[in-house]
Amino acid sequence: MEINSTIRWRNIANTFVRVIIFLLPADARDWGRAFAAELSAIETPLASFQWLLGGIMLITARSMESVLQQPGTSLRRFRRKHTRIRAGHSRSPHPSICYRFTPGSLRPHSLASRCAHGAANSHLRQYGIWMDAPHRRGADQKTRENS
Amino acid sequence: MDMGRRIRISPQTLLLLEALLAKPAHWHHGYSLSQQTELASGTLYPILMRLEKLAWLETKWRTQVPSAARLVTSIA
Repeated sequence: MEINSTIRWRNIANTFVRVIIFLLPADARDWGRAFAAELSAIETPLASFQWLLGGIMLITARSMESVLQQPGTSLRRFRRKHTRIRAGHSRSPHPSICYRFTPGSLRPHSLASRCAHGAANSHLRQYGIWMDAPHRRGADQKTRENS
Repeated sequence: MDMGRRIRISPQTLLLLEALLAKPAHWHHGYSLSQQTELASGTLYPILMRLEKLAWLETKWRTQVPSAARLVTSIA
């Protein structure tokens, strides 16, 4: 009975590991296979479950890294790549399937912009300083005189 | 020149390097490294990947049982 459940668990773990290898970026697949091969050395189901959880972390970290490390990758370009414009509806983007089912707040660009909130605020502060600068005040006065 | 450039190494990476340097001529399996360093697989493998990319590690596939080859690592 116990042997059966161990075998069943091993089969489930192997399936999971195959999914993990499939989801990893191409350059990390060898490491994915190495990760999978270690499962045979893990004896208890609990330890192999913990090992698999690490695999999920691995996928997430590697996928994000590979997206952000692509040359010339910017969040705007990333967004453009994942949203299509419908013919005749140029102003309404038609998101791809994975985007359609992801809440807006969880999309990568929105998460990143939230992380960069502090940076954005500092830009706004800089903009405020620039607007108050003496040369700017002079420019505003000229505009007023012209009008 | 890059004379003043410093490499920042996380404590986890240090732990792993320490484990590898404890037996420099030895080839280590991922799971045994995880047990030695008590690092989770999700932490261990990204570090191994990074160190291999920096050529600090050597890797090779070793077969004990024909059907189950495992990747082993050693300090370069």
